[in-house]
Amino acid sequence: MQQIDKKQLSLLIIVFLIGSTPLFELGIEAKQDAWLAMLIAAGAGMLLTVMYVKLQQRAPNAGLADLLKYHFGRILGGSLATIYAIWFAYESMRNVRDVGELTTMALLGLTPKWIIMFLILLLSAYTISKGIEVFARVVQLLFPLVVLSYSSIILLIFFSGLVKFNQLLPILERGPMPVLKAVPDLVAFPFAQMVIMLVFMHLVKEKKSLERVTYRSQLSVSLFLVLMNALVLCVLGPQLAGVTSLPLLEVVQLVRLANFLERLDIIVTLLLFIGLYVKITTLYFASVFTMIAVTGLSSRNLLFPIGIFIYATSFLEPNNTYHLWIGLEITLKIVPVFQIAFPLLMLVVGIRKRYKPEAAGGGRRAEGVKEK
Amino acid sequence: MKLVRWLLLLMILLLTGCWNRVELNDIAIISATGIDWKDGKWILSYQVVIPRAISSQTGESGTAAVNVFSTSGDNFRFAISKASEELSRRLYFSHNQIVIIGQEAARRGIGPLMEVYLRNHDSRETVSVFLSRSDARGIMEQLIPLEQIPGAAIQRLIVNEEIGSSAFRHMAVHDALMELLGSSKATAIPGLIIAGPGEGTESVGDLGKTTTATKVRLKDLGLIQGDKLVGWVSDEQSKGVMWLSDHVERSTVSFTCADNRKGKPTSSVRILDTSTKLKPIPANGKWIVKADVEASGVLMEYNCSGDPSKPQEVEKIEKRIEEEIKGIMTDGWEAVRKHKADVLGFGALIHKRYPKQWREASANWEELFPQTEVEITVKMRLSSTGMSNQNFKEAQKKAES
Repeated sequence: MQQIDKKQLSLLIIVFLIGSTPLFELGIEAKQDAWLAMLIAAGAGMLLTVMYVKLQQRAPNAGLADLLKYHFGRILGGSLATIYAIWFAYESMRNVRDVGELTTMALLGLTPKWIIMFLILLLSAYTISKGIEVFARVVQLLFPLVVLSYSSIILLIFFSGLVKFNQLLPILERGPMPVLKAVPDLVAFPFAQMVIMLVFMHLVKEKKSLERVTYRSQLSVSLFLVLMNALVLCVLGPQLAGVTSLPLLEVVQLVRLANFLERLDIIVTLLLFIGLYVKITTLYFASVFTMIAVTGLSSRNLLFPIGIFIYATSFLEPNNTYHLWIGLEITLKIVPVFQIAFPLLMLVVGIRKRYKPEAAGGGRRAEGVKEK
Repeated sequence: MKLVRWLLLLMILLLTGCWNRVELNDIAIISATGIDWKDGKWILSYQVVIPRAISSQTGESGTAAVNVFSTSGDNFRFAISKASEELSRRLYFSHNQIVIIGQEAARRGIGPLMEVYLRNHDSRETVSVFLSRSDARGIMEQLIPLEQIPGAAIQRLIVNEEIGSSAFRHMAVHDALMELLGSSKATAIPGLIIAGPGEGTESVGDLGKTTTATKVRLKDLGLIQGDKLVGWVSDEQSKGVMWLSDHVERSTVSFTCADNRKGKPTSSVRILDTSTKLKPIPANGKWIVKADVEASGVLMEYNCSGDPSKPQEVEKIEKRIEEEIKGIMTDGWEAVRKHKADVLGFGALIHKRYPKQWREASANWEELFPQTEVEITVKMRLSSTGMSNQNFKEAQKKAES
């Protein structure tokens, strides 16, 4: 059985949740209070994570599919797991499409989308064929790069004197309602995406420290996302941040230091690709693992069908506008079913009696992670 | 394994990036863009750098380093696309330094320009913006002594002005964007003119003389309200605007020997550090803005009687400088007030501090803004009086007696 250690899980959570989020100004409907909405959503996200961890602790060796089975029985649980797997593939597809859209929009205007999306998906499929341990190490390798890039961006923004804290004023201009209205979507994306980690948490060797590691990494990543959100607001102001589709790219383009440190777009590009690669791969992985647990097929048999499914569906949306509209107006309203409703239901109904010994003892391994 | 090898080969072929290649000899690098409005059409002018003329190896001193040409159209991007009808290379905007907006175009509205900047990724928002009293193209055709590329020279000019005497402020497109999207939807952009009586400095031969008949210089500040040019204020008034909006980095202020700005300003002080704090106060539906200036500097020139090595004399000098700065600011305020354009950012201040009252005020801010009262207090600190104490002539008199 492939395993990862707690440090690897922690980095996976961090890089996965960062993803491409800092590139966008989420919650901008709340204008200059977007960061406040983010903060509240981050708090709500922490509560959800507590729930996910509690569920995991009921059956320390079960993946998401097994958890569903233990709680709802073989048939209902199995079909729910299949729906989850489809959702993971769908989310993976959204990120694949994001790569295509962002690359053609901001970097390579003439390169066809199909090749960009094909290449990134090929990379993900290759990673998955090598197993979770390899992927965890890749994330470990990418993490310093992510930290270095973000910290250099933040430092340079501060040094160029672009940050004006009074852009955050007035706080709660129209009362708390606009802020609260922005919160549900922010919980759904990015914070509650933590639910995906239920697929991976049981792979951690050190079961005892799971709780602490998860909370700690989510806390740090939440604070980071709120900080980046506020930083972009401080530089661009709520109006401009609301108009541009890639605010962080806009911010970085404004950096001009000592007449030579400018045009740092490349750093943002790098972050974009790293973040989205990790997201695509994690989601793709989650889909494959869940399907393995449901069908009992091997990873080899599922890798390509799911990959082809992701690739094919990424062409369904006719253009960027549709892509964003479906993502923001429709998807975000449905996904709380997976992120909140089902886990909460699990929490309430509890593990069925007949699965109790299996769940507690962990005698039976999760099917998804058999030796290759 | 065979499959992986094939995939690797495929990736090498596909990842080398043939779709978006940009060859240096296929592009025309633009150093300045001009926008004019004539006969119901936008006229876009481009200052294209001629690489051959600026290379240090084979630099031909006889040719100008840039070439200027124009295209026209009903919108910007269409006009730009027409450049291919008369140019052998593709226009490349990523190194554009400045954009000059002609007076007529600015009166028509700069909204379309802002739109183009926001929507396209090859046009960068760090580009400096200028207005021009005449048509923009005329300014772009001028050569500038000391520098090879006029576009870059004009950008250096405004940066030099900003840190040196702060009568104008460097406005990048993103500064303008932020102010126009902000609470008061107004901004101020420095103007350019061709000064001098001559025909213009358009050929390299003109630069061979010790003096050029004309030159490009900064003149007047254009006030933009909404997206249209609504008026100009003079250089002196522009200084007041900069003092009021806290954009003075360093400056030189000349002052008189008597109190209350009486007489000729024969002496001057170099302001090295200053900050202006603005504080809005609501007053019966109208507004009072308190402007507190704290400045410090050194005495540069002193043609008055009195001994600046005496503390009480220094206090007197400081008071005269304070009155002078206050006067500059009042002039600036009166000028802006007349045009009803809140380029000082008072609206944004009120919005941040009194969000509730601002919701009422913003509806007719254009009417309310000129009724605002500005109360200015200046605190000047003379940190040094220079390397001599008395004025030269005073010293002479003393020597006689």
